[in-house]
Amino acid sequence: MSEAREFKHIGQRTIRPDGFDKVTGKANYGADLSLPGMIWGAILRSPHAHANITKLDVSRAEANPDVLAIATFEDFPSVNAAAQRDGTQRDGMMDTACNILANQKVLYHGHAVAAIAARSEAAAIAALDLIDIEYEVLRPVLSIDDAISAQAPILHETMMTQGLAEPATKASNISARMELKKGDIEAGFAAADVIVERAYDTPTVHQGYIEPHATTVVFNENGPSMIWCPTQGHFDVRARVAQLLNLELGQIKVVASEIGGGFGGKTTVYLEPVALILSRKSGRPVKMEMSRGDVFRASGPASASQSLIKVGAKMDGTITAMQATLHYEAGAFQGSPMGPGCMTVFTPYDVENLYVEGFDVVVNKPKVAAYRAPGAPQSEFAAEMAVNELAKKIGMDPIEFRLKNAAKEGTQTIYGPKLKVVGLEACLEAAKASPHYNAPIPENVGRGLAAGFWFNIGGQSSVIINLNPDGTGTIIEGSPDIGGSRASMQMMAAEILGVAPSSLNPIVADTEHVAYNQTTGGSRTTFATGMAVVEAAEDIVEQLKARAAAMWNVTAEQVDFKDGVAHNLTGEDQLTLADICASAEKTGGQISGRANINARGAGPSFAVHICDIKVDKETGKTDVVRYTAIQDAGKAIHPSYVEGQFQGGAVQGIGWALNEEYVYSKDGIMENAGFLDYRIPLASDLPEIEAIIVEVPNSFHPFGVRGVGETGIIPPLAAVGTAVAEAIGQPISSLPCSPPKILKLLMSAQ
Amino acid sequence: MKSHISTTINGDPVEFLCDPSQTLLNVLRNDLGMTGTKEGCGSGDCGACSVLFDGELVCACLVLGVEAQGAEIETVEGVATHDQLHVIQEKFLEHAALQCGICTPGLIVSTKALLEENPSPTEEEARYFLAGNLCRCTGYDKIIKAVMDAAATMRQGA
Amino acid sequence: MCFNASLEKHAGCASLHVVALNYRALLEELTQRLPQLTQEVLTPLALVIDGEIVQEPFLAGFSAEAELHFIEKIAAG
Ligand code: FES
Ligand code: FES
Repeated sequence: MSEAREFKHIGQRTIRPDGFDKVTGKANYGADLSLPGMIWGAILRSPHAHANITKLDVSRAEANPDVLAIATFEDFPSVNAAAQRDGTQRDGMMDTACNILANQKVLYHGHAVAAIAARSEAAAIAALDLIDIEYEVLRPVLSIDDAISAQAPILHETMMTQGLAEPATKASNISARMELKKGDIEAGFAAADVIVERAYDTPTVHQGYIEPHATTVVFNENGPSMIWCPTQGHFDVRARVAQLLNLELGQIKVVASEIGGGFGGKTTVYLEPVALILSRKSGRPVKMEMSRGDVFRASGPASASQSLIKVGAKMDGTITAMQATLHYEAGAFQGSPMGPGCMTVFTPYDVENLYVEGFDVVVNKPKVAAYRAPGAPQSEFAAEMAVNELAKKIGMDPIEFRLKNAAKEGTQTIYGPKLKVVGLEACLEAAKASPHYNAPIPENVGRGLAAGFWFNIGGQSSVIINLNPDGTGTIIEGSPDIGGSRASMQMMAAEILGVAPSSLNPIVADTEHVAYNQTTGGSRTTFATGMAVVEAAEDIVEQLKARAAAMWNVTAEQVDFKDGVAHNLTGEDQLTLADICASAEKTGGQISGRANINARGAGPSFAVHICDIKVDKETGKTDVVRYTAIQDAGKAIHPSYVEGQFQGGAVQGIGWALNEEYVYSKDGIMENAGFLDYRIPLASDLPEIEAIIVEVPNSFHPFGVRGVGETGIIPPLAAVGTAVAEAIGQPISSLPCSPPKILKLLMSAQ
Repeated sequence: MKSHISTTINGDPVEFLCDPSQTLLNVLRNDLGMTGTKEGCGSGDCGACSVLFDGELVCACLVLGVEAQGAEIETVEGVATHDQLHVIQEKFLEHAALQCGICTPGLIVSTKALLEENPSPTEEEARYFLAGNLCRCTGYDKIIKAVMDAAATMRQGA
Repeated sequence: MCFNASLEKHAGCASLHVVALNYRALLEELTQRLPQLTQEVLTPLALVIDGEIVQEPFLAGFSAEAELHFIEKIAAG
């Protein structure tokens, strides 16, 4: 699939089908559902970062007439004391359960301890004071350095480091080590003329979706219970709640509300199982909402990291060796995206000798969740910074340096496979030709450029397309639409069926109305669910041909279907899709197409970003004055939403690089748990974000799609970091480049 | 003790009972079922709850319900007339100025306030006026393009 | 069949030739020849077949010349 194809709908900028409801306030998000008889749940959260719970007594709360139900860890039958005693506990659910409601120990400021349901939100919050709780405060572990030091308190007494050469013999805050290598790293550095070696760090940051977590649930003893929530994966919500509460999947129905942003942060459960426990105990529908402070303190931010990078090259620009030691904070429970961090760190480069070592470290901060290309921004930031520094030392243009070493088809990656056709070189060429790169660098401005790589994934998707007797139809999918994907589904189906996109209404069905779909994430939706839509539409085309054949008394092979019209190859007859639907009653009943797939062949997406930054030398304040994001989409189904992904990812990355960070007191109290102090980029902070779509088709997808959602957050960290370094004439090794830090660098240079 | 409040919302006379500590946002969303106005922070930092209060742009999470007595309130639900979208809404759709859409109601209301006050803003003016409305999905690029296009279209229409 | 550094520890070698034309035969062959490489180690992993990442390889087949790698499943963001 390399020749340019003519498309009717794909590549157009249609109006999204869910747009009307979203601009008029009709669309219903997580907090928008209320039910008759509904009561409210509230959560008691730990004021300490690390403490043993020495007393938890809910009897006073229970006796209060306003209180209708209380939930604690002991209400998780899958893992509670009874289950442990009987040996029936579900392995693998312990951490999840302990994160949702603490078990004897709190591990971060804001860690949930107990929940109360009452007739009003205010009453529920007030009743939290009636819970008698006492803590034995422990010293918190708040950084990687601290966590891995010999004196550090151990967060989990049973945690042994996995992946060591010799099996671990004592508990540690390092949950896992990973090692990847290729070639001979020593020989590689020996062959280098110039070597750059530097340590980098990045802070804990939050996805910052504007919609806080919220849910409304109804427990039903006799039929499926209902959970309404904003999530990237309602099937996974169902699975986790079922496992935690020892229910069968069929006993729970999860309805995915509209979702107000997720970026990876809405791929797990916090409130839903608690609300269901409260609903079961009270016999009432229960609603719960997180405050913005709760979202910051107790949902899943992205890992802070420390990276040690060493890169060597010859004077002609050939990189001979790259080495990384990467530490990722997992938060209170193991499981940072250290693995993908290790796998992606050097993937933009075709280099003989590589060595990467990664560590997953627990600290007294909230358990991290995925955030757009999880793990990659941290490690690739460090690698790209070092690569830029090296290019400069050798005196090569950063694009030329990358072109000389760029990963391409056949490049052996460090994690194993060889790359297929990829678009890095095309992105670099597009960057070289871009108006931005060719514009002179203004005075007092630094320019930085960086590349990024993300795998993208496929996975399971299920789609049903039902046609109506008048030829209109419904696309029933199960991938929550987080940024306009309904529009792409509509366009892909319309392309195959040869009808107007607006005649097909895409709906995101609940867990009962469509078969399992993997979570929206990994940039998989347009790729994998899109593939299912195409297959379901093709299934319909086959049926349309058979129906037309029946009408004409010919065989299906004697019918051609093109642009929405069936042609009788043995004569002149034609029937439109609508004609065939209108007579479906006579030819065997109504027409539905269906596809249940496990999509393979996701195509990696590379990106290159260019950033110009002006630094105020008096205050250390930075200003992004020009920004360009270039990325390989494979094929852009809806170019506006593809550009939107590039721009949104770029700006999140800019925030990460310039301002955003969790600030903790020495006691582990998060001091900036609100949008005023955790400052995400504002409209007034930014220039236009120029988006350039590169299209190097992915041969595994019928239209050539690669995922586009995640890669865009990777390059900004180093593009911005390098631009700041250029502007101030000092190396940058620590994010964010906040004014105080920059000022300090400027002063130390004087 | 709840107070009895009479107010006007999107041109309709509305009465409600509210607690003295209840915010206007809470009244709109939880008592009146008008969930078009969103809550992103509850502290005046995100603009998702933007409404017009006697023609002035405010964060409904920072206004008390009791303050609505005798006021004229306009929410996102009142921006379109019947099924006819306002130019601002049309331009947001045309320019793909929303991804998840949670910030959109607030931005539509704020943009309306901006263009009523200043029918020909520069891009910079638009960016500063809308700085109180956070959007985490779009990077603002397409929002600003939609706003500038809406302004131009409205000037032509006027 | 190639192993990355993390698996190499279990496998005791970086690569080897296996005779298998599908995933299940591959697992059988590997776990028999390399007792350190248990089902528990391998089944949570994705399989890469000639550069194509297959997250759920249970039914996957491949050619006799195929280059295979096990990698950690890719998380989603
Ligand atoms: S909810 Fe009112 S400003 Fe955020
Ligand atoms: S579109 Fe999601 S926050 Fe603006």
